[in-house]
Amino acid sequence: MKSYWKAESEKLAIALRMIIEPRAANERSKAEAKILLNQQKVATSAVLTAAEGMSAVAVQAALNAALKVIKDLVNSKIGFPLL
Amino acid sequence: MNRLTLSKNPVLKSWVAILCAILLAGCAGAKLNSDYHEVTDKSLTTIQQKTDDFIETLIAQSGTKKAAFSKHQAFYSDIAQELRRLEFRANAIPKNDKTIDLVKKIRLAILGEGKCTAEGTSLRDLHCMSANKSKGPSAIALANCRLNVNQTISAALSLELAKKQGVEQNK
Repeated sequence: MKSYWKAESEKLAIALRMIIEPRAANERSKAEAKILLNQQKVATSAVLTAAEGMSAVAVQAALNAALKVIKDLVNSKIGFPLL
Repeated sequence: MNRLTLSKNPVLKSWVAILCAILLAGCAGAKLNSDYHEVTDKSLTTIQQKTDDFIETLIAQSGTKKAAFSKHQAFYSDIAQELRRLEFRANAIPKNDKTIDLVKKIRLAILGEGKCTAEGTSLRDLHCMSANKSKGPSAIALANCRLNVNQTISAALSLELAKKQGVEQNK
């Protein structure tokens, strides 16, 4: 998760620089720069959504692993697969 | 009166512990997210490849009449169809909210809402705006656009792969 976020933040910074520099040098129209900036906002928001989803996946995996331990413990104490 | 208290009654304590364990284990396999979906993964990969190839072609044609918006309608129709199919499948999967949201963002980044103005968000808006309609966007704008589109699609793919790893961890 941390490495994903770090790598994506770097990409976002590169994309932002690619928008700003040509615009500052007048090599790009305002409209083009605006569309690219709007598109980058969509990309940033996608990265945040994916990061949220990945956290939920990690929580689910940890929860299921913990519950499996409990299940194994109960079944071993009882002597047959109750759960 | 002989009151039943947890601290004083070891037998009752064990039964309460077992009951709690049973209740907790009943939640085993608890689902916060949908599982990994191979068709979604493949569909996202196809959309990424098609868009990337298209941008590459457009970069090569940039500044010529070959890059005109009117000459590339087939690509936009094809991607619109791919996205509709993907949206339909993603919507049919329970607890798939994040993927549904990400597919909406992919649509916004590639096709947008057809505004063709500075208010746009997409590759198509960049291509159909009045200044770029006849000879296509500049190569540098397209390279920038490719980065944004790839990042949006890769966010959705990363989530699918995280789901796959999560499922494998719980096997």
